[in-house]
Amino acid sequence: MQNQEVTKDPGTLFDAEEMVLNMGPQHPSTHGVLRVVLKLDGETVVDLDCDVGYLHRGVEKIAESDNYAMITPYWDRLDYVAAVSGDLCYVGGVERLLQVEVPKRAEYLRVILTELQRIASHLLWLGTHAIDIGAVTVLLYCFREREEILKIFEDFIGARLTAHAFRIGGLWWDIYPEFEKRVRDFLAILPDRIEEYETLLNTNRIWLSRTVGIGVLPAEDAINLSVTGPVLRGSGVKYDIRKAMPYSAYRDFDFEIPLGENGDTYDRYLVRMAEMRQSASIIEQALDGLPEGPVMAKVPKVLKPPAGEIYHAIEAPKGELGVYLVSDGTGKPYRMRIRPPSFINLQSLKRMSIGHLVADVVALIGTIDIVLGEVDR
Amino acid sequence: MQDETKEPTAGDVEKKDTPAPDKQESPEKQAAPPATENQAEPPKATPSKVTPPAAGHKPPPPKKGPILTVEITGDEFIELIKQKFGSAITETVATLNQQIVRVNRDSLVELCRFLHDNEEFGFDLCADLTAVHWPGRESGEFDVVINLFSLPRQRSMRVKVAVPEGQSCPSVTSIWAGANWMEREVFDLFGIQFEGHPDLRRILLPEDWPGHPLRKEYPIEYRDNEWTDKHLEYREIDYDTSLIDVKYTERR
Repeated sequence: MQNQEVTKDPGTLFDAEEMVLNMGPQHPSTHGVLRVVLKLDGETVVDLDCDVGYLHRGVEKIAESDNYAMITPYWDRLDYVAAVSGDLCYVGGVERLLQVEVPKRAEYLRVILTELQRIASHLLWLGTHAIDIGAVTVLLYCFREREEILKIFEDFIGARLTAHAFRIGGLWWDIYPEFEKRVRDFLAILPDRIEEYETLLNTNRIWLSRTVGIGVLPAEDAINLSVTGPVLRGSGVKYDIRKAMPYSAYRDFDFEIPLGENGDTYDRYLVRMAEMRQSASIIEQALDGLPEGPVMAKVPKVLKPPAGEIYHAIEAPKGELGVYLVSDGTGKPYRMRIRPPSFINLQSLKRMSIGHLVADVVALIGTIDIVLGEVDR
Repeated sequence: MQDETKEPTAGDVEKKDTPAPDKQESPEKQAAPPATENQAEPPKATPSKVTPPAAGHKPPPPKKGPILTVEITGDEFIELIKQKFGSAITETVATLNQQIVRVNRDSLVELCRFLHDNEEFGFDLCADLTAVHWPGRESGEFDVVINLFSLPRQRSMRVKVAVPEGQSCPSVTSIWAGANWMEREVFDLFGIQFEGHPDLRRILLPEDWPGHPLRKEYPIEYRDNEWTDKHLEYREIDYDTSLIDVKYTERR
């Protein structure tokens, strides 16, 4: 009797049942302008809603008034930490519409650059994810290696982040003489460096207690939520577009798809670490088998794909990055849809967070690996 | 096959743009079998593209042929769908080796549930859901396009459904929970209502945004002014500009 009366009293602090907490849009651990509205019971998350769109630029609308070649740079600015992957997706889609056969040398170089970009993206993810959880040191080490990749990009492409690496039909230009040596030098140091990160984290008790068993996403739920990329593979689902629907030159290379078992934050971390090693192996194979020849196919100066449509997807560092292009035979796409992996993976945040603590939400946003430029487009 | 007949008209413009009609593309068409031997990397290169013309006096220019869209025949699963849904399936075609199934609006959810639950083919991953606006089309102004992937079979399929202006499209969120945000996005940018969606709100644009930008009639330029004026109210501030050598221009 008495207890009931106490809980009905609105004036006391401890009877509050649920509380709504606003996280973001300017919260350092949301990796950009993401607003998360949390409904809390004490410190436990009961419900969660993501508010996105702060960076919406309307790229899909802009594309309808630009010609095909002009659109490529916009893809750099979606996932700006993996710009090369974005280029590969768009360029590949247009080439399939144009029915252009890209020279083999260009395809191999594209694979090398995209896999380097994957390593760079995963390194950035690892550093920021670790700093979110409280391991500050890893970020500095990760940026040391990422810098090497960005320098390789800068010397080849001319830009570090928003690369605009590819042209429709091939590459802008062939590699410079030292390119191969520099990539090989980088690959020589990379395995040791990855081990270095792992010694910092794998036995770190704070890291383990904040990642193991946190944000478990069972395989069925992951598939049903359309999650792709390392998050899906962390749940043990073997789906990698490089194997499932091989694009570019990926059919030529031998690599494995790392899988997790439990689908928790720690497994997703392991998957990404293993992916970096696989990427290094792919780059090595591509450098060994790099064919001679031209790097640019013969494409008309004015690109007018015949009327038709294509859905072209690639395995970007964050998941399935796709482009759905509808052409009406003119020089501008009738419709360009970007299938953003970050945006769709972010849906699973709610499923992962409920039942965990507020502090874990920070870790979970990190583990999905979002880039708000791509979420909002 | 239509290539040769269409060449003088369709290729006209392209010919001017493409200098030196040699190398690269022409060997592929001239001598199809040997060239494809090691060039067959893109898995979805068009099937049996062109029957090579009898080698003429000069090589044809590297022009693009039309994208072939052919009726699917002999596909086990497509036949199964056709048999089960009958006249609700209005089109089954393949373009660039991608299968497209067009279905009536009323049978969409039923078809999707069948695709999802089928034990053998199970399209369990809704890879993408989007829309295309075709103003003035008779069968419905919008196409809702769903790209599916089957993890057990490692194959993909595209389901299309026409939605007339002002009418709603049945939601597939009950089948693939991942379609939730994608349908919200389509609602936001196209204004298509999804019947049975649990939480249909705008997602990328602000709640009170005027119009739906990805519709063809929506102009790009200056459309944000109305909203901006309302929310980021422009106020005159009385600066002492005499000290600064900058000419301030009136807004609009």
